[in-house]
Amino acid sequence: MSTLGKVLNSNKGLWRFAGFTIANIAGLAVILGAFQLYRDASPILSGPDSFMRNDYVIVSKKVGALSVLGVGSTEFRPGELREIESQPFMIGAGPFTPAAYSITGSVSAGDMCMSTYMFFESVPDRFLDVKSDIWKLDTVNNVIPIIIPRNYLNLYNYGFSRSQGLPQVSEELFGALTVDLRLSGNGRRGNFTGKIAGFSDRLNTILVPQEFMEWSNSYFGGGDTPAVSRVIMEVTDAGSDDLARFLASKGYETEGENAGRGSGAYFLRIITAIVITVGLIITLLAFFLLILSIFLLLQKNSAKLRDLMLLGFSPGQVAAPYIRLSAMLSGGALVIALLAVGILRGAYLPVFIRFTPGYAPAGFWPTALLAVAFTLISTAVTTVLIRRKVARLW
Amino acid sequence: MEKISLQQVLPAVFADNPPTGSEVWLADTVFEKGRSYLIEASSGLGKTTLCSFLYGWRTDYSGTIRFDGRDVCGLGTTGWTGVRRREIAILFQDMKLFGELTALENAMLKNSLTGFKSEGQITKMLERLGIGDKAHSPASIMSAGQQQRAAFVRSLCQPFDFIVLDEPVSHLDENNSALMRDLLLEEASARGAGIVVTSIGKHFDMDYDKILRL
Repeated sequence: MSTLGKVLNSNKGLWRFAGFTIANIAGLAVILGAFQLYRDASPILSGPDSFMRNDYVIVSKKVGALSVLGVGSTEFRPGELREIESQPFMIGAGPFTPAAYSITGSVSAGDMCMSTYMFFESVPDRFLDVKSDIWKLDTVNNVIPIIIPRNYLNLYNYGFSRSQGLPQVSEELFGALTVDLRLSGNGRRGNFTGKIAGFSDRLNTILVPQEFMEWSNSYFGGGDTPAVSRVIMEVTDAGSDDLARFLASKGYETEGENAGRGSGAYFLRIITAIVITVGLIITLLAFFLLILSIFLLLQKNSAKLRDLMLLGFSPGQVAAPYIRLSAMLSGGALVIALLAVGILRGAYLPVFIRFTPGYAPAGFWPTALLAVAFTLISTAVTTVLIRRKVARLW
Repeated sequence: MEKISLQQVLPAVFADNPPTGSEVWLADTVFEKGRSYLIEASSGLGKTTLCSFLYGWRTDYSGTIRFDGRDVCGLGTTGWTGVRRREIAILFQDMKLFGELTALENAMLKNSLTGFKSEGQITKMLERLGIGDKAHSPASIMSAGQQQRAAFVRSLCQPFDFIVLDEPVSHLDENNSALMRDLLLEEASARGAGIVVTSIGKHFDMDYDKILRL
């Protein structure tokens, strides 16, 4: 120990700081654990769809008993669309454009041929994450890319094929199939080939590119703009309270599991916020405990500190052992808290992986960086406070 | 630093009842480098107060104190730290030794700031003053006279232009007082430094350039 350290007894009575260290470890572990758990659990509760980005919500109006009679229309009027777009949580909204003509699709495989009436819808391209080179009309071969709900594939594989003694088809094989499409309307007919560009878990419709839809509606549909009955919204936060309130006040319905995931994510967020708040309070109390312990030590040694400064030691020099002590304690608490989070993670990650296929945990670095930032900030504040206290002794 | 000048300095504590006949308080006094001064006074007239003003740990006075023309009021923490390390050495009346450190460690603590003496030189000085055997004893168990000598050795562990000694021989017999005086004169002349000694009656037996009544 240096002579200065011997004078200041700065390394003695470390047990006095045990209270701080334990409280600090607990506080940090709670904050970091909650943060890491939130990041690890988020993908499960608000997992991104294969084609849809995270915060997209599809809304429609509820079909009521009187809708059949034309009362209580399920169409969105332009004023309503404008109102949706003007909401503060809205990044953008796009209407679903339905096809205004009739479509027949047929699939042939060997001697078997299936034919059905179909419908198309489109949404503005920016609401999809589809590679642009697939997602456009191939004018040379008249090929239209199509996104279909994954449910359709499941219906075939688990419902239809079993009962009819037909083979089950994988996603890749299904994607390789082509559909012969006959479009007719406005006194015109056209033959196209449909190619499956992807499957969506959330978009419960048959999607074609917006550009193709605009052209085909004007060509086969006679130019009337079809009414909008569904709207896709890009929002800042699909689990937000404001969004839920807005949808409820307007009587709009959301599609798919979005709402469920949204509320799950919402509860996760609330619980995380509560836990992090508790952690912050513990950490704050630990921080006060540290400051109090150090100030007590400074007070006890104030005569010695004054004498040291009379000898020619600068306030910075006499403050240094205390700053070092607080930094060492905080650093130790940081390492232990991170280890605790690592252990916690080791306990819950296998469960997440077991119950969520394709689950990939979030990275650990942001948590480590958060912990380091916390420690740096608390050490910086402690340093300033110690320096001020020592300067007052001058 | 070549000179320390005091102009009309009066401690705040004397403001209501200023002393009369003082050659320092409410007077213009100059301490010059290379010369020696004895400041005599009976108790309670402000000897330690004067030392505290010169060393910058008290500022409760009116008037002006200047180091080579610069007002010490403007020195600040860094300025005073520099003065205490390089320009003015002091032997406090109450020694201000750290009881948990040995005599040698106390001196080495100061030396760690200046690197002015070697451990061997410090040990030799302690031996010369008759406390070589106490070099490794904690200051807390040393007698007042031994502490006074150890604190004096510590005050020599730095360069200085002036050395201020506040009642330096109050706990020493004549023999030890003479040993300390010889070492003081040797060290001060090696640096060409000024000596300011306060006394309540007992003081170094030496030729002072000026004796001032406080």
